[in-house]
Amino acid sequence: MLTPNNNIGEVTLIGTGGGYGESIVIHLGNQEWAVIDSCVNPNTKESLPLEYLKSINVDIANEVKLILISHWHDDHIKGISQLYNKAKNAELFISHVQDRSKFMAFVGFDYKKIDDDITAVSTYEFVKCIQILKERKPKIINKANADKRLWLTKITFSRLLIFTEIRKKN
Amino acid sequence: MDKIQKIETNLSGHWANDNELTRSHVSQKRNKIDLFIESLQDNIDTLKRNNEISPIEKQNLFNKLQIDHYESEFNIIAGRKYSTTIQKWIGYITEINDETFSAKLIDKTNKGTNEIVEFSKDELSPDDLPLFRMDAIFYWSIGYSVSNGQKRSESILKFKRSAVYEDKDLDKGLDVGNDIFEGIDWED
Amino acid sequence: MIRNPEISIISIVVVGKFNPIIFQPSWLALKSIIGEIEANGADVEIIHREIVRFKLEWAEIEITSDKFNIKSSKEAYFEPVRDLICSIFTILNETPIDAVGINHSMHFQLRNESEFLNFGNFISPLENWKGAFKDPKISNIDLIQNKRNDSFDGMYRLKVQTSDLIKANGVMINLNDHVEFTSKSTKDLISYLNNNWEVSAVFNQEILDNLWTKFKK
Repeated sequence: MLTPNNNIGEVTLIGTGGGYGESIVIHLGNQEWAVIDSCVNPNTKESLPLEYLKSINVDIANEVKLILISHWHDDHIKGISQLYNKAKNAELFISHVQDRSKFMAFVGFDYKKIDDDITAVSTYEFVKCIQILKERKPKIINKANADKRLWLTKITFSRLLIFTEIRKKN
Repeated sequence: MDKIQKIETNLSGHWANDNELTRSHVSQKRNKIDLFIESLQDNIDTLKRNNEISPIEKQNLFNKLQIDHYESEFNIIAGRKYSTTIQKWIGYITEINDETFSAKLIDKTNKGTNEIVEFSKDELSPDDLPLFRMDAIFYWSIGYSVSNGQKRSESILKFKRSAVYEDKDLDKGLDVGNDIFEGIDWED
Repeated sequence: MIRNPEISIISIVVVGKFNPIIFQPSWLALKSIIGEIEANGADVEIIHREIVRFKLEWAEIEITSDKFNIKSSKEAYFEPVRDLICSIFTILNETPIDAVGINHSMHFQLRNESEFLNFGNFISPLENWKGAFKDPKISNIDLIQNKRNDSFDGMYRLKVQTSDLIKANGVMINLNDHVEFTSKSTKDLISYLNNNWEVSAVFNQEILDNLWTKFKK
């Protein structure tokens, strides 16, 4: 499989529900990619959006520009830290946080209950993403609020075809 | 099988109270519980009498206190009482007024857009009053209940209850949260 | 044609090692897991160190030394059932937990006897049994999926049988969503219930939708 052309938009839906989970992979144009949520291959435990992007030879480190975590039910967040770790130039977006201090406290409460070898806990995935973010610059958590543009890709055309219709006068 | 006779009186000592078919289901259940407790007591008495039994034998006997005589009636209950929801929301309180409160609702049934809804404080259950405060989370559902063949519509508002953290847990959780996000900026 | 159940029941069975006598309504109220008025009004059937059983307005609870059972036939209270378990085992966080089973029991009313019999033949064709049996009918079937759809150990078991709650032409479909915890940890139990509650319900609904879509009559 090959990557789509620069001026082709592509939306790929991954997952079947029922425990596998869901993820959306979007080609924004110009070989720029966005990924919303993640789920894992039940056999390999690899992030399925990551698996897909590899299969179509996407340069994940440079071309994945945006990763959005919509919420962290297990079936929407598992594997996202694997993907984020590979996507060195991706910006991290999370859905709106009503009260930041309470949110940070909640993450702290939940995370402190985790043993090191538990991988099923979704807070663990989120905290892994934060730990990855700390190694990058800038260290910004972006907000995916309603009615907000998250990304702009400019597509350039090399040719523009115009069709005209000539009507015969009676 | 004889028909269960109607009790005409609540006077104690009435012959109907001794009728074995009267409230037979209740008496059957009581008998089973009594038999179970009796069997346990017998085993405990045996343990006490036979002090010569070694600790291991005693423990083995104790471990065999199965609930043999007590058939668990924990099967699905008779369908006389059940309720069904038509729509469910989860909400949290955003505003509190004198007679009313407002809440943001997330539709769990239709997964539609969120709504802000005003409720009357009359809808609060007495047991939930200690939980009533800003940002408190509750479940709201509308549907109907069926009881002994009679159906009626119902609206249920129940506040979410979670285990209460001790102070040391709260402090530790806050510390861990601060460590996790240290050095991270948030988009304004 | 998608059908809605007449009766929905949720039942959660936690397998582990428990001390039943702790689980009294008064203790639950003391820990604010249920309300005080509710605790006072609980219908207590038995409190013994081997077994405790009581009913709240919205749930029935039974605890023995190796099983914690809670059940509700009031759909509005399914999430509070989950919250109650999570709260209990947040407090009793040293309890060894072996497994949990979420049981979704749905009771459906079929339109008439003909449809009821056709349904039995649909879920397991009777043609192969005729000749040896005279006019055989399905009583119940069990299906098992040994590999879960996620990364947990466990399985799914689906049972279809005549409903004992619907007077005539009723079928009960029960999905047992069973997870085993090798860590024996309450953390895993709480995490599973919180993070996979809706996943389990969605899977149950998918099974039912698939079934009713294929059952033409």
